[in-house]
Amino acid sequence: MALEWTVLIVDDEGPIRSSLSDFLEDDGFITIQAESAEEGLSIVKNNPEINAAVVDIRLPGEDGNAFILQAHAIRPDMKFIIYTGSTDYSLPASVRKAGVDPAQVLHKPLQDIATLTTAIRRALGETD
Amino acid sequence: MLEYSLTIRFQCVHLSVRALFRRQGVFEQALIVCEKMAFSAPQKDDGPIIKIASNMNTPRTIRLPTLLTLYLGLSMGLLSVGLLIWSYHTSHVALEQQMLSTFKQRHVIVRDGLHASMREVALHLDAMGGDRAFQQALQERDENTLLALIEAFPHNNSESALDLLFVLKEDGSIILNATSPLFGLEDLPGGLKDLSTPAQNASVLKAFHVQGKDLLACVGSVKIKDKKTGRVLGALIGGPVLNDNFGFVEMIRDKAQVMDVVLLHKGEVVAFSCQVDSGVTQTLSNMGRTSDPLELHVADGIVASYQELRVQDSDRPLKVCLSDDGIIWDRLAQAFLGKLAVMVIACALVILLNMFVFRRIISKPVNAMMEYFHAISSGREDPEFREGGIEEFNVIGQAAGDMVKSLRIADKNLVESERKFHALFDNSFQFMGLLDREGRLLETNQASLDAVGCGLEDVQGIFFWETPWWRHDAEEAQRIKECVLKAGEGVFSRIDVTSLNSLDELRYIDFSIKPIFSKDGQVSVLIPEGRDITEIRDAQQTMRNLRLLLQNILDSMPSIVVGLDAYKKITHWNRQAENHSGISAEKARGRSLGETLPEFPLLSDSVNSALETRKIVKNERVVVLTESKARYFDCTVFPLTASETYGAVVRLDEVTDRVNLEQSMVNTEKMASLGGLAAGMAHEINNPLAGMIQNAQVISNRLSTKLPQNHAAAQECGTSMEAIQQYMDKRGVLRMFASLMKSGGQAARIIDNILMFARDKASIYKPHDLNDLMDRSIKLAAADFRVKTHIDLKKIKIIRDFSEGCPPVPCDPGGMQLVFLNLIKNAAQAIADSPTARKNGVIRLKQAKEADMALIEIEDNGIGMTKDLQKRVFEPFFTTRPTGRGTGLGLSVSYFVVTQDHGGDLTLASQPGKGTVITICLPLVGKSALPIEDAGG
Repeated sequence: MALEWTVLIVDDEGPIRSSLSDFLEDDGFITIQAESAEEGLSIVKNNPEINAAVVDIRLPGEDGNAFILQAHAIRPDMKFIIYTGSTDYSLPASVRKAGVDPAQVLHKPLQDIATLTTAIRRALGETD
Repeated sequence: MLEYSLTIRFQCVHLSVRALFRRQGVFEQALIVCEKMAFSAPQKDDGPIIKIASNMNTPRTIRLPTLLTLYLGLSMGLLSVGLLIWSYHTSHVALEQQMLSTFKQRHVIVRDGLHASMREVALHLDAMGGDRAFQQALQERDENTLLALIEAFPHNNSESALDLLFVLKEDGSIILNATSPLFGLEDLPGGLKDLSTPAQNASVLKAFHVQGKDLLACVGSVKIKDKKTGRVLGALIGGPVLNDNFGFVEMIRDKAQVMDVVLLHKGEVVAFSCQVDSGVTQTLSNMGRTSDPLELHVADGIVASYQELRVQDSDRPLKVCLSDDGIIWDRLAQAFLGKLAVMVIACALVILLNMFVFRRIISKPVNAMMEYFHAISSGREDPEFREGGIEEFNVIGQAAGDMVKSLRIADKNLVESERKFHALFDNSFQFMGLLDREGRLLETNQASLDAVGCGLEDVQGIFFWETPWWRHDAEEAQRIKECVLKAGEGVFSRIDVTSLNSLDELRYIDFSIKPIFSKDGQVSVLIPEGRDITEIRDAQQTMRNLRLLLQNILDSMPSIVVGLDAYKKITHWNRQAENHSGISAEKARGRSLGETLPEFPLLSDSVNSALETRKIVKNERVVVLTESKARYFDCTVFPLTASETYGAVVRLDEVTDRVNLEQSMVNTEKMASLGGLAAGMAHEINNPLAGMIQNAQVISNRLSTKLPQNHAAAQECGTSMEAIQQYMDKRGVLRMFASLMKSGGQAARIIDNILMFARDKASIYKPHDLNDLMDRSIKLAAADFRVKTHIDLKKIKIIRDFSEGCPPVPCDPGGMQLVFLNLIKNAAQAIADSPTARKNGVIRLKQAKEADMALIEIEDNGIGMTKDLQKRVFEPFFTTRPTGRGTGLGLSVSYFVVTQDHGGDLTLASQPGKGTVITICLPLVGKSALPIEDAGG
């Protein structure tokens, strides 16, 4: 059995957030949900056990990129998976510096969410 | 010999000076002096009047009656004298002939007389010898008896006196010489002594040489015979000596009836009838020595002729000169002289009569005419001609009157024109002068003298090139010299030279020199002229600089600039025009636009329009098709109405880059809009789709038997996963989930395709249904809008007011859709911005056909726009939205697409707080322009 990882899910779309959370929990993850970047950041501050975050880019208020940079500033070892509906998204250099490589950028919708869990695990350093 | 006369009349003093010149050179010099006097007279009226007559003889004057009289008298006199002389000559010749004939007869008489004398001598001797006593004495040789007998023999004729007498014996010897001792003749010549010759008993004229001189004698020889026996007893020889034989001469004179007789032998006077030393004798002897026989000689009041007679024993004949009184000649001459005198008197009388008659008939009219001409020549105004009785004079007088009148007028005109000429000459700004043929200055005007500050006397007579005008530069002087010498040969020259004026300023002179030819084709004088062109030159230089500046400015402009004159011929052609057309400015000048810029066929119409209306004519985006691509030009024609020269300036600005940029800008905006739409759609759909797929996958997971949590949950619910599995299998739930997953996947792929969507603008538009395009735009707007603005289009009531029967309009569907989308978005934004309309926002879309246009109105009841805003709303990048919301290109791009791409119109009407209406007109036939190349690529 794999390690118990705590993953923060930041997405303004409730169905996506909850289904993602359900799927990850089924796969053995501990999940925390946040509706916006601001909420996500407060969770990151209060829950040091979080290992990774799945972040939507287009969010009300601050966007996903801003969240990643701030969360990275608080928790440098934290890993991020960008899960966006914008097809024209390009990875900003600042975000890339925060440790996000293009393999960690996934576009909605995924035909198989297992792709996401695989990406999280790879980002957290697990080998298949 | 040629004569030149020069008459100078000074009007002020009424003095006439007349001079004759035998040499042309002197005459010309004098003429120049006189002309100068005339030109320099302070007042023209006081100046001398110069009359020049050349090549004519001065006639001696004589009055006509006198001339006629003299002529008549002389001719009469000459005729009379001629006739007189002729008649005198004829008379003289007749007289001479007669005299000659008389003399010939006289000479015959003389000869006959001589012969008679000689016969008489022979008879005398014969008679003497026939005497018995003489014969007896001869026989006896009794000299004394003989001598006595001879002396006693009666002698009755002196001319036959026996000056010589010899008695010969029968043998021929002399018995007795009874000759006068005066002659000294001792013996007879041999021939006479021969008694046997038959010549005896005859007389001959014979010359004897005695004591150194010739002695002429008429010698008779008679043989004396015995009457009984017939024996020759002897001979008797003797006769008269002619020398100084006065009796003989007198005999001749008497017989010949002449005045004088002279006998000559060997040039010596033998005998004569008058005094030996008299003039007559001398004359006659001279005549005899020199002249031919039987000629008539008249001298010293005598007339003479001579004849020759043979003389034996002498080689020269005896000349008998006969003379008569010459008084007949004198009488003849006297008679004719008398006639001459009568004739002279008659002539004189005739002359006097003629004079009288001529004076009466001719003098009066001639005098009248002379008076008339005097009056004319003394300058009296309009003298009257009195007509006389001679028709010709009247005609001459009338003609002269007419001539004088016309001459007066001509003279007046001449004086006037001369005065004008001098006024011109002296007051002219031009430099003028007069040179002789060799180039010496004769005359120059005041302007020329003032220019160098000298007087006429300083330069007169100097060679023109040595005058002070050219003192500054030997090279200029040399050029002037060449010109002057050329002009002296009859060649006109014109050059630009420099001259130094009195202030030592260098002036530029337009200098010319012209030869003036006399009638015989020789150059008589030269006229140099000069014009100060320094100012003109400076002005020209300034103008040239200005023109250069203008050309530089024109050349530095990025536009093609073409200047046209009133006839639409090219006057200016800048570098851009050269570069564009490949035609140089020199070649383009004077040609028309059609020739030089054929690619702009409508430009000529624009120019015509601009010239007619005097307004700027502007045509934007004129397309020029080249081989590779289309080029766009903004053509502007500015009519030149302010300047003196009417014309136009054509400016062509290439705007290809701008047009391309604008089109690409539209495209970019369109793509941005489409991209935004697609992205919005993708995002909008992807999120629920992701939720759907994820939840389906979670459901699928939680229904699977693989997860231990599922089994635990099933047991808690009193069932097993197997039972659930069976149930779902039985009810097809699992298959449904699989379908759900598959459909979700398909939807995701469609979104991907939408994102791939991109469209190019067609070059030729196909007709499209505008209503359909608008409907689609509304749908697109509704999808796009919420994402970007968080305004829900569903809350706005959209009214479609589409009329039926509107045909499809040729258009770019993408472009028009973009326009509609932009406008609907703007309307929605305006509604969202309005506090009142937010709740009940209405967008009304209207579409109708109006004439040949399709009319579209998009009306909202939004916030509206102020006037200031309306002015700026079509400006690109103008926006009322906060930064980051909207590019500010929507309206401007829409405007561009409608007006430029489709040839339509887009207008805006708005009232603040009430709403905005955008009206679009699209031509039903499509844009009538050249096809626009697709700039979108």
